[in-house]
Amino acid sequence: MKRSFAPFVLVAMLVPTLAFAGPAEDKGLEIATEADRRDTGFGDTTSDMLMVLRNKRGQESRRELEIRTLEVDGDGDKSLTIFHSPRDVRGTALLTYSHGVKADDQWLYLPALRRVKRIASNNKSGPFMGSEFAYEDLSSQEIEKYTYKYIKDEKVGGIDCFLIERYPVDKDSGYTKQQAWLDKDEYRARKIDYYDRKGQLLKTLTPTKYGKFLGKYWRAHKMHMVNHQTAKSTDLVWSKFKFKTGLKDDDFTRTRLTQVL
Amino acid sequence: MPVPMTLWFLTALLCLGGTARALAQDVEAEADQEVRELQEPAPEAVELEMTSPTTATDEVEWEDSAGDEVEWEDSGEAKEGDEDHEEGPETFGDRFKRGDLFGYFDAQARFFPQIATSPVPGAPPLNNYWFNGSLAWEPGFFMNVTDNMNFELILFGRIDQNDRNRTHGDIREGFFELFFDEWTLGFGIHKVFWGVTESRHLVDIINQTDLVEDFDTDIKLGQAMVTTSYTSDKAGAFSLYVMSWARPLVFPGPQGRPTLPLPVDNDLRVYESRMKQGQIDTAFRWSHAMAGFDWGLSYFFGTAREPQLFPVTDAGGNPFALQPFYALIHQGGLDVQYTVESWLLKVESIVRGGQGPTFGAVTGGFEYTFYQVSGSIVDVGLILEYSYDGRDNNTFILFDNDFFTGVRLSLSDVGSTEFLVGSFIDAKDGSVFIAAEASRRFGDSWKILLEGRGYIPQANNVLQAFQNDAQIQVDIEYHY
Repeated sequence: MKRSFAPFVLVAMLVPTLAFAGPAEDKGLEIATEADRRDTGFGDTTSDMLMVLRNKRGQESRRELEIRTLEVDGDGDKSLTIFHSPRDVRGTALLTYSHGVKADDQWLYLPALRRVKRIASNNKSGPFMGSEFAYEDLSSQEIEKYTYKYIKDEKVGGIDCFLIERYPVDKDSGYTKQQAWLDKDEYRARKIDYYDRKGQLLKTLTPTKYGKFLGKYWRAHKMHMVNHQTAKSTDLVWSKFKFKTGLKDDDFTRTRLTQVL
Repeated sequence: MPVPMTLWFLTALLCLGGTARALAQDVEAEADQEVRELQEPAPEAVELEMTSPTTATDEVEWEDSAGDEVEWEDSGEAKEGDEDHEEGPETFGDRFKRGDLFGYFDAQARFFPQIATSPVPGAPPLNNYWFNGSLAWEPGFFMNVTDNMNFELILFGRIDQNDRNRTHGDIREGFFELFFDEWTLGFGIHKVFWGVTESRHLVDIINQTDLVEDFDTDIKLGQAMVTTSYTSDKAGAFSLYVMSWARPLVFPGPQGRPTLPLPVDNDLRVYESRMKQGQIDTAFRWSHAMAGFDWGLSYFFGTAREPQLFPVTDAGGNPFALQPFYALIHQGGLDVQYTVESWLLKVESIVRGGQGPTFGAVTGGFEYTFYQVSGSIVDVGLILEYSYDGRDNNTFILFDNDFFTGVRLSLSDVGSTEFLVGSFIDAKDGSVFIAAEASRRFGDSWKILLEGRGYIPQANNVLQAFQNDAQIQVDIEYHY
């Protein structure tokens, strides 16, 4: 007798999940999909990045990096991040094969030892280079990494935006949700609020200085991230964007990782 | 490497470097012609209120001088006649075409709280200084000579207060590397690392250890070689190495701390190869990453990097030195790492023939990391490894049947602060070697490293030679 209840319990458990996918969720996913579609087909990019870290007293510390990205059809992007400063980590390089919801593959190259080390990739929420950006903030943004919900239309700095919420699928994420304001014109992120595991507002990202490449791909040249809980902030200043430079799979191998500089 | 050879090599490198620079100038000239007209960045369309107490300033901006053509958002008023972008900051790519100078200076102090005693009666007296100072410089130069050719030169030199063997120099790298899609070709002096484990590097065999720099065997001397590799997504990476002029292992001298009970006399060294140091060594490696596994299979044939040491006696039959013998060996190696979530499971194993009876050795274990322990910026890594070594052939090894336990604390702070405590424990008699390290960067260029080491040997353990050589080491490094 007891056993016959099991299917009902199962159905009862499914109902809230099914109910979740309502019109707000559909519209949220639609907006995220459109934003992703507009950035598809860039092929590969290279760029230089300056990171400026500021503590609450305003003291600055800088890091210089070079980033190469290869778009991969049907999977997450491959990327190579090369450190140029601080000088004690010069030549250190990080190779990432991202895979959407599946764990990424990551190898770290340590030039002093000439060693390539496969590293655990579930440190999503850890600070990148001591900055206010977590690894997951900088990794390839695939649609399936979140579930979405459209909240409302709202202006950010006078620009009409969609406000959507996205909820990380990965249990290792440091966030319970993100609120993202995407402008209606080009689906560019204008502001993102990050909520920590306790549901408290943790950080706000403000991308500015958008520039358009190849007539369609928008890239923010400055990303300001402020941590509301520690009053620390980090600026990413991007420059020297180049698209379709001819990078291939061969430029993103463990062999090539030891040869970047 | 003897001085004449070094000089010869340096001269050769300088000549080649000259040619390379001329080539690079051509490349730059071409690049100049391609400088694109850029529009002046328009004032930002959106300026949001920043909640940060320190409002972001714009002084860190770089011009987009060398990037692709960019249309700035809402830039209706692009200025004319503003093409003076050639003098804007160069890209990293440009810097490497011109050549990048880098390196570090190191000022090192070692303190020895105990008085060293020789465990061998009649052996030369050991040194009892409590302080040793030394200075080192490692200058480097990197150049992207053409789009598919790199050149790197890294030299190293140290001057040591007490140990003449530790006052030494080396060409760490003097290497040209060409790459064409799946293929690479390299020649010159180079360093190559193989393997996955932390406490011992069994499989890693290409380079000689710079033992006078540090007993931990992590620091290597450059090796002359020609190498080629083929890398494919599906089949992995295949590398072939042809090497010569293997470097002898230099032990700390009689004035060094710690040092061996008897001095190793490299002038007496004997090679099994008829070619002596001119022996051509060959090595092959295949490595591949499949799902969570990283595989490596390797084979080496040539002069052993670890010499066998035999006592030399005087007329009265008393040993006064150790004579190194470099046998020709075959070595097969296997290394595997499995990475899943926060676990790294690792094993390395070798089989070596030619140096006494054929033997096997294995090191294996795991590394587990707790990230952001209780919401902090501290990552705690635990390492446990076990090493077994079946050799019985007079080579000098410290760990033949030992456990290694390690705890690593990494702070994701601005100074990349790190602490590491590790100990080897002999599985048979419980002898212990313990080391603790801490390091932190100060500002953008300075780095301070602290290290303490101690030995707690049981009777007849090889560590007894060092039992009074506990040390505290301080390094102040300036990186540029």
